[in-house]
Amino acid sequence: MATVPISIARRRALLAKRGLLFGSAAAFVATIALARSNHPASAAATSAARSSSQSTAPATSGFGPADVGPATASETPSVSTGAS
Amino acid sequence: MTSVDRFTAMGCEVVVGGAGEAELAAIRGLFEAREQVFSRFRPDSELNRVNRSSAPSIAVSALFAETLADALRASAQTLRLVDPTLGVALEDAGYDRDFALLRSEHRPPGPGAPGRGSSVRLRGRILSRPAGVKLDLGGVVKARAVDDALRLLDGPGFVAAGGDIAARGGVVVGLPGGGALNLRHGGVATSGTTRRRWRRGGRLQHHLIDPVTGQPSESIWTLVTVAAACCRDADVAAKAAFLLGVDGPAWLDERDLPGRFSSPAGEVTNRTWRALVGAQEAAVGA
Repeated sequence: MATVPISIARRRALLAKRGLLFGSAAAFVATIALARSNHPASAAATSAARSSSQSTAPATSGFGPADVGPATASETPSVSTGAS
Repeated sequence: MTSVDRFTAMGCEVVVGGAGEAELAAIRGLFEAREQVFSRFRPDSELNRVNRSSAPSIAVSALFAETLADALRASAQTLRLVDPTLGVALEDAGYDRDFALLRSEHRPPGPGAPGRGSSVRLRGRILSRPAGVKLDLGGVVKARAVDDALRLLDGPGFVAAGGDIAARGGVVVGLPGGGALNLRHGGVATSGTTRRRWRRGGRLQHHLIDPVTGQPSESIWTLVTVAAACCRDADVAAKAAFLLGVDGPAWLDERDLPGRFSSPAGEVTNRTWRALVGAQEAAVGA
C-alpha cells in the first residue's frame, strides 16, 4: 500500500494550522451546523452527496465499502452495536 | 435467524446468530485462542511474553505476526491514529487489569507515552522494536476475531463482540441512543468512552488513547459508529474518526464510509451515512 509518511508532530501542526485541534468547542458547533445545513432534502441532494464523497475517496484508503441500508419501523434489531 | 447464542470472551459478551452446535464450538475456540495470544491481562499470553522481553528482536507466532502486520496497516491507513504501541499509555491511564476489575483510585495517572508505531519493524515472524515499547493490539484483535468467526458459519448469520458486529445475509443492528440500520453484509463497530472509563486522581480516564499525547483522547465525541466491508475496517475507522474529533465526519466521507457521531451536544451523521442509511433511522427502537 502506498502511504505518505507523516510525523505525529507534523500532523498535529497541520491540524492546528487548520483550526482542527481536538476538543475545539467552536469547531464542534460549526460541524453540527454544517452537517445540518447539508442534510439531504431530496433524492438529488442525496445522490450529489454520494457522488461527492466517492470523487474524493483516495484509491489507497484500503477500507472496503459498507453494504448497509435503512431499517424499517417494523424491524426489530437482532443485535446492537455499542462502545467497546 | 434461527438461533442466537451468547458467551463471554475478551472481557465482553459475544453474540452469535445462525450457528449450529459445531460452528458455535469452533467460534468459542477461536475467541479463546485469540485471547490466549493477545490478552494484556493473562501473564502467560504471547503478547505479554513479547512485552516482557528485553531482546531488541524476537520471533513471534504466525498468528501474532499476521495480526501485528494488520495493526501496522491500520496505523498507515489512519495517519498513525490507530497505533499498536500504546501499551504503556494504557497502563499509565490505569487500564492495567481486566476492565471488570478496574476501580477508580486517588493516585494520579502516569505521564502517558506517545505512540511509536513507526519504530516497529516486522520481517516475516521477526519483530523488532525499541526498548520500552509495549504493544497493545486491541485496536484490531477483537474485530478480526469477529470477522474470522463469521467465516466459520456455513450460512447467513452474525457475530458480535462487545458491540462490534460482522454479518452475512442481513441483520438489523440497533444503534446506541436509538435507531437501527440494516447490515446486509460486512461490519459495524462503535468506538467511544461511555462504557470503558474510570477515574485516576479525580480525572476521567478511558481506553481511547491519543497517540500524539499518549493520554486519553479529549475528542468532542462520546461515540462513533461506522459501517464498512468488514468489522475490522469498521472498528479501525471508528477509532480514527473518534480521535480526529471535528475532522472525523469528513475523513469518513473521503473514504466512502458511513458514520454516526454522538456528543453531549447531540448527534451528527456524515454525508455517506445519510446517503446509505437515511435520516429516518431514529424512528426504529433499538
